[in-house]
Amino acid sequence: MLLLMLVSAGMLVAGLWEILIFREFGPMRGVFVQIAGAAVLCAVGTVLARNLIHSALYLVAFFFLVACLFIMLEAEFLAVMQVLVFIGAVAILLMFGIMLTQDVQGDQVEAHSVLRRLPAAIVAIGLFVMLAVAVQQRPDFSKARTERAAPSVAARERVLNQMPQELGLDLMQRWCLPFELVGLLLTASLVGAVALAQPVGSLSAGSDGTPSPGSLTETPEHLSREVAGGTHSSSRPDLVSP
Amino acid sequence: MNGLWVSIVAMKMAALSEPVPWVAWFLWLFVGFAGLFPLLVAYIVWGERKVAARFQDRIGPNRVGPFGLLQSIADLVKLLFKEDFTPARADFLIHALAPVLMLISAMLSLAVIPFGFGSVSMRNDPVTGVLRPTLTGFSAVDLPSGVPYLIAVSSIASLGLFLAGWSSRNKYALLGSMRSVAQMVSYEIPQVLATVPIVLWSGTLSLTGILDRQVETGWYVLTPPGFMAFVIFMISSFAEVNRAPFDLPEAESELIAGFHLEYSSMRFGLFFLAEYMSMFAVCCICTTLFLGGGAIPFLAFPRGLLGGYVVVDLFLNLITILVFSLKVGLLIFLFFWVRATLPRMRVDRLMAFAWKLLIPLCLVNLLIAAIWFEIVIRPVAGRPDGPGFLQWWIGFGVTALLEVLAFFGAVWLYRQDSEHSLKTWRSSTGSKPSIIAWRSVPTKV
Amino acid sequence: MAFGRGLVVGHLVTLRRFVRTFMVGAGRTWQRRGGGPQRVDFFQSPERGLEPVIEQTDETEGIFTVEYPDERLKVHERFRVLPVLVYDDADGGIRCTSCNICAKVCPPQCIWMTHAQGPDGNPVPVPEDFFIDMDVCMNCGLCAEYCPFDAIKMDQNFELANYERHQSHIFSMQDLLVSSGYYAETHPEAWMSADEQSERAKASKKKNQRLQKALSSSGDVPRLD
Repeated sequence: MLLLMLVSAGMLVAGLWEILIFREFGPMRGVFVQIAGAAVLCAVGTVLARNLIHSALYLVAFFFLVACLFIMLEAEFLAVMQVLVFIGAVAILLMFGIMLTQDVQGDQVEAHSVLRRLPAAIVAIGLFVMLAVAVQQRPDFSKARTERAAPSVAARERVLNQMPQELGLDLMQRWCLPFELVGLLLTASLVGAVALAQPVGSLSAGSDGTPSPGSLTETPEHLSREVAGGTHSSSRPDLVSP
Repeated sequence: MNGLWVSIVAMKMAALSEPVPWVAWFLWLFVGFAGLFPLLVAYIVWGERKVAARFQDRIGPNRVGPFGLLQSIADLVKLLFKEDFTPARADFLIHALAPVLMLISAMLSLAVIPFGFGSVSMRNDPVTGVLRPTLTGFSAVDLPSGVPYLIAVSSIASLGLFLAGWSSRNKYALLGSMRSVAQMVSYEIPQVLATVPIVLWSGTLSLTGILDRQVETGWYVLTPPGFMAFVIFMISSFAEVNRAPFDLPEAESELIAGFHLEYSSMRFGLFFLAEYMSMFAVCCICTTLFLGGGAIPFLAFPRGLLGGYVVVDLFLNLITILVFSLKVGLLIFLFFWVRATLPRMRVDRLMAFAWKLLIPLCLVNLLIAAIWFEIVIRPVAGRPDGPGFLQWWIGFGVTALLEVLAFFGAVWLYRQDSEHSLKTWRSSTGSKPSIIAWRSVPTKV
Repeated sequence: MAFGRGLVVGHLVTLRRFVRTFMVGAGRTWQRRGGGPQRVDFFQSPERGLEPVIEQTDETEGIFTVEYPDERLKVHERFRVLPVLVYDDADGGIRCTSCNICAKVCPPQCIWMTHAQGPDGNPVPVPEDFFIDMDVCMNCGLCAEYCPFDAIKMDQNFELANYERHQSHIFSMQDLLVSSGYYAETHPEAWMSADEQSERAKASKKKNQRLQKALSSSGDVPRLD
């Protein structure tokens, strides 16, 4: 309900804004304002929602609206990637995280304390100010904008139709180092995840073969080690083979 | 909100500078997506019941209408008139949102499928950059990044599935949805990796572009790496659309109905519709990526005739659409066949199968696909007559050998792993593991 | 190690099954197993009682569906549902002597009856009325086993559904009476067995005697035979 009210109010405000201020810029600007307004409202909803899953859902809506903004910018490949990575993977993992760490339904989790929110708010505002200043003070901002309009229709169409290719070439040539660094970071987190997911004691056991990665696939070797270590002999009778 | 989408879509079309008339849009939207596809799904359900019946030596529905053809309509009417029930403690909005999300995901993936050949226009070749006649494809939208788009929209389905289970406030539903999300996230990886060779060979992410390349150079399923990718893609598609033997999310016998346990009436109907529509969509995707879309086997026949008169184009499109639906029908039959044959997998084996067998196999297959690219495709890039006879057969021999080695190696390693687990288990308990002992291992999630 | 051979073979097995339904038996033609076009006559069904009877054996191949209301399986003689009371076609006399044995052995106690009384108030060995609660009856057939007069027999009519369950599910004597001809038709072997023939003769004799006795003791009623 809150979501609906917020979004509808946002659309109304955005529409008014469109009529009052951006009248002369045509329909594109209006669409932008609507999407951006809804996105901001969703972001606010993410922060304010009491229920963590609702919060995550607001975040999903926000990601989706950002993807819409990408489409407005004719960067459809980025939009698709946005949906794929953030909605398809990040949001799902987020919800999984909520369900596995807190109570399984995730709806008794509430954080009221102002003291806890204050640092987050300060960081967020600081980040916002930083970005705003950076965007405003970028020296060739207006120049780049006019330059961007300049390329020929053919080049533009080539970029639009071959965006992944152009993007890939750019990433592997101009932005090669950051790209590789991000890869390194991801690998490190992957290794860390594998290490975290190991059952207790299995890293030191070592003698009976390589432990299988991922705890979702519960293989009997973990248990066998537990049996050998004598961590349970009578407390879990269901483990003893008939 | 609608106005917003319409304007975005209009903008998109204007940006691509393809003058698609509004009539075509309304036809796609109301005849295709609101009319024809749901109807098709209803008859896929009917077909499944008939085929499954034959597999079990029965007749199947034959009471409502001739051949039981109106059975689906009768079921639909029944669903519409049932009580629309929401559990008292359920999260109402999310409970209502979940089936819609799943249906949207299935429908969106149908938007980029080139059902027919469309017409011919001059475009840049993706590999060489030379202008040449290219198929435009008979699809609702021809996205330049169609393949990632398909992956993106199919990942929305897992969100809908999760929300359905979570909002129902039911432990079986929650279990089902947790299983399903784990399953869908895992099987998405081999599914995506299996499409990578296709993208590598055709040099484009657009489904129409891929179709065009296949009509020119032969179907991708006929090459050894393509065949392996096809098999892996089909297996992970079974898991993605929650069909047997990967139907753990709705496992009737253990989770009652899994994620849609608390759904009734037409909201359950939406789940049903979404499931079958996503199955249909996956078959369409597979046909487009691997089986050459609407191309007639070993012929480039309708391609040369396109681009002349509108009437001829329409007629040829009709032919290609028919061929396309025939291929899709065969794939759907494959789904039914597998469902009639295989029992449901166990959860841990399901995950192990994806992570320990399919993904390594996919990665090796990618390497072999690159070898195929170097031997067969790259030397003739830009030449209109496609790969030479000798080159094709050299490539076939080399990659087929490698594929066979990769397959046996991967399966052997996979078996070694499970044998090893079994042996450790046996030696530690000191007794022979019966199947009961194996099963009574408690899962620690 | 099998490398997926079993998977392929299993699929071929089911596919063979699928194809065979089109090659052999009823699935091969457009005919139903009991005759008549299989798929287009959705407004026509055979008249009640004239439905084709299908013999289902272990040699049935392909489709083995019996489309029940329009086709039936053969009802075998030992098949039993509810008990009925048999009267003799010869004299119209009911065999039951209202001895109450069936009511006593009935495990769920679904049988009860009232004795008939002569004009003088003495009991006569025929039931005045006889009730079976068909909802309670568990079709065990003990009543028919124990009946010394072969009066109560198990029927084979299994289509008992109706729209009212408070009155019509308690069968009175009017609902229960069937002729011995009907019984002979549904249970030909039992009817013709030497055992039952002699039983029949003995029982009718005994019953006649008892009836005579009862009637003569009450005086001026004429003999029945």
